Amino acid sequence: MNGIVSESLEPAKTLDRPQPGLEPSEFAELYQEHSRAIYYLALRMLSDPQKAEDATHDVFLKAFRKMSQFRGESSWRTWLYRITINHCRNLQQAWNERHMVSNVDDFVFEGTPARTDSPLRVLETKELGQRIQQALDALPAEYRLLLLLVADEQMSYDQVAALTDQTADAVRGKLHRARKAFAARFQQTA
Amino acid sequence: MNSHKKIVRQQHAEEQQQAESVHQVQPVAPREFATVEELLRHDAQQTPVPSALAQRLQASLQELPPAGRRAWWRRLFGGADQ
Repeated sequence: MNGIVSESLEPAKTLDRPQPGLEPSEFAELYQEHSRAIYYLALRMLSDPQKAEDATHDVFLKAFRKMSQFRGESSWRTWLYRITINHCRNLQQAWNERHMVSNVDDFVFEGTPARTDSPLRVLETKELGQRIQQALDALPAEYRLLLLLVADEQMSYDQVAALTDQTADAVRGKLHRARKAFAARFQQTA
Repeated sequence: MNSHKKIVRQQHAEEQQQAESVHQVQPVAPREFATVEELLRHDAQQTPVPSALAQRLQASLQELPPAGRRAWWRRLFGGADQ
């Protein structure tokens, strides 16, 4: 079992030219290459390590079952992200329905007074992840998702736009506000 | 000979103690991230996938019907097909 879960983001083998109907034998490489990115997205979307683990498990299981439906029109990473986003949204929706929470998307950040043009300075502590989670949790869901997706160097603006059903220009515009809102919230967590 | 070993051991222990005390008082330099994306990338790299996840996935895939299961995971997880 050792070495199953790669500690590195570097892929063992880059499957950058997806072919329809990937052989099941290649699924192991797919897991090794993308499991960290999928788990991280789920973790920051769901704010809970156990839920993120469950979600990542379900995403890969779903991906395995639906591999024959993959047409190669997007990258594997994009395809897996789409499954993850839908899965996490369903979980959040179910949770919201049970707890009847208000929609945080109504929150307005434009007037937030904070210095956001300076670099984000942090101490290397184990609390960093908690601070990032707190800042992300305070953002509207769309901003949070955009930031997480563009932080992935494998993702282009066009791919992020396709995943979030909007134009690349819209993504750029929202990202500007999302960065500003995150920086303001992040500094408040210090 | 034995006393020489003892001295060396003692010196080693003292050096280790000194190194530990220096390490304790040494201030941690803050790290700067130029962008939010850079900060998140760093966070992602520091966030490992739970080791139990692969085992869970393996178990779940074993429960799938044979047509969907196959042996792809043998390369990754090792062990028998069934």
